[in-house]
Amino acid sequence: MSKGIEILIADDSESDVELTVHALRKAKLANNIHVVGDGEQALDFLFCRGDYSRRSFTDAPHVVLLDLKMPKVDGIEVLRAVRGDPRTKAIPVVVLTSSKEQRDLIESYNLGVNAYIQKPVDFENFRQVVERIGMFWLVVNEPPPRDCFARPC
Amino acid sequence: MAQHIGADHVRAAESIPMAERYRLLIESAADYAIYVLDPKGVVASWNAGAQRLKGWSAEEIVGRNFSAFYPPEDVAAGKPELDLARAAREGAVRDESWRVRKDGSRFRASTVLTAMRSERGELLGFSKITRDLTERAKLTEKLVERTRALTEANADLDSFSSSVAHDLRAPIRQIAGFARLLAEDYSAVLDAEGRRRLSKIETGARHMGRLVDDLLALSRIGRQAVVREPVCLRALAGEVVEELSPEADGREVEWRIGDVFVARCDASLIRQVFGNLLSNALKYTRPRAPAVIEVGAETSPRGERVVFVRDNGVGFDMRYAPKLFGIFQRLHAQSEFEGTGVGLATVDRILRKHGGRIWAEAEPGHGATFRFTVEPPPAKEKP
Repeated sequence: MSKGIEILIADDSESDVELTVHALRKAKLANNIHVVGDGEQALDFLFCRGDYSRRSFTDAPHVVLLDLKMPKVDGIEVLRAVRGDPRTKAIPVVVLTSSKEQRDLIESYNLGVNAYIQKPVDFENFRQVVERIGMFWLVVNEPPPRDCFARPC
Repeated sequence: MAQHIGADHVRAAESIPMAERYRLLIESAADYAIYVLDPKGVVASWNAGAQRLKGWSAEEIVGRNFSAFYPPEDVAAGKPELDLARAAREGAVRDESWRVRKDGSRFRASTVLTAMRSERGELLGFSKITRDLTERAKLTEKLVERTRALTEANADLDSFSSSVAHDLRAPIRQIAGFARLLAEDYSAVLDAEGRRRLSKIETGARHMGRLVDDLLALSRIGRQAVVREPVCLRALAGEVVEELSPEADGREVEWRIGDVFVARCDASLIRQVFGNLLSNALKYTRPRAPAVIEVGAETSPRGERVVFVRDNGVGFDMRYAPKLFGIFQRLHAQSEFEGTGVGLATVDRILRKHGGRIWAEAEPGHGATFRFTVEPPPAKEKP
């Protein structure tokens, strides 16, 4: 049986996703990555509904890499929904976006984001940043135990 | 000779009786309506300026009450009488309000109504001086409108350039990223020329990336407020040198950080100033061993507190100094010294936002010195 999803990437830019996944795989960091292209799908995945109704809340990803500017439901709304529900509020969420607007930073942190990273424009820096994110959340960090999601923390 | 003629004129003026001299003076004041009222407000004298401003001739108006100059609503409210009473009580009344001309048209006027009293204090009447503000008001209105339009255009331009720069980041990263992956995974199927061309794509994309990030930093400064707090500039320069030290790896660099004052300025912005100036100094001293980079303070002839950053690098020709702080302006070839031409424009913008300024001095082959202030010049002497 395959392991659960370790990283959920929510980003509508296919090219950025490909570069991100490539960097993670190259660093041998993630075998179980799932990608969604908009906020609605991200919410379906995280709340185990729609196409993902067979998922279970206790199989939460170790980290969500969340882009802010996405079609339908933007990243801030996804973050708000995740933090607003006891079944999902403990999931580590890292904003990984192009924007470094003051407003986005403030809103994300006020909603309880775990980290906020601006995608570097330089590819070498980008690759390093993605590797570090993967290394930290999948190797260094101790993920929330399953019980966290089974009943309200 | 000139003095002689001047003296003649003075003598000629002195030959005119005092009262006549005043009459001539008042008569010749074409831009001011100057006239006298009796204690009840009846017009007693009238000058050429009054005729020009208000339209009545002396024959038409002398003997009539000055309430004719007020708009009907002011007359109904008893303003003419109130003004007279107040001038009599307080000595003078200054006002800026609407007045009417003979043809009924209105104009904005600045007026002074002054009580005239005899030596014994008895009220003799009033003097009235009126100036037409219509022209000034029109100009002010135009100026306000133009300033508003200009501010708007500037803000538009700023948000346009920042959103363009912002949206360019993703495609630039993708070009650079896929070029890199191509070079890493497929270099075996490319010949030497193919690999050379690929590396050109990477170099170009990397440069474009830096350009876009520098532009974004520049436009952010435009929107960012200056938050002043006491900042030890010496410590700040020291921190920046610390950050730059990896770039100096493998080179012989002598940093001389002298005593610099504490100034009230925005620490994060002035850190960018030191960052730009010191990394420039490091870059342009690359051919030197040892490179000597100095930071210090001095007082300008105007009494301003000045910080300087001096290096013994390649310098530049002072003929090009005016271009130094312009955006995208560079004095060196990309192949010689890399750069985007945005750094010094950013520095200049930061310092001007602080009320300070920056200037430079250099000689080709003999280093450069940049001097700047982070505070407005001392109040008594304006540049």
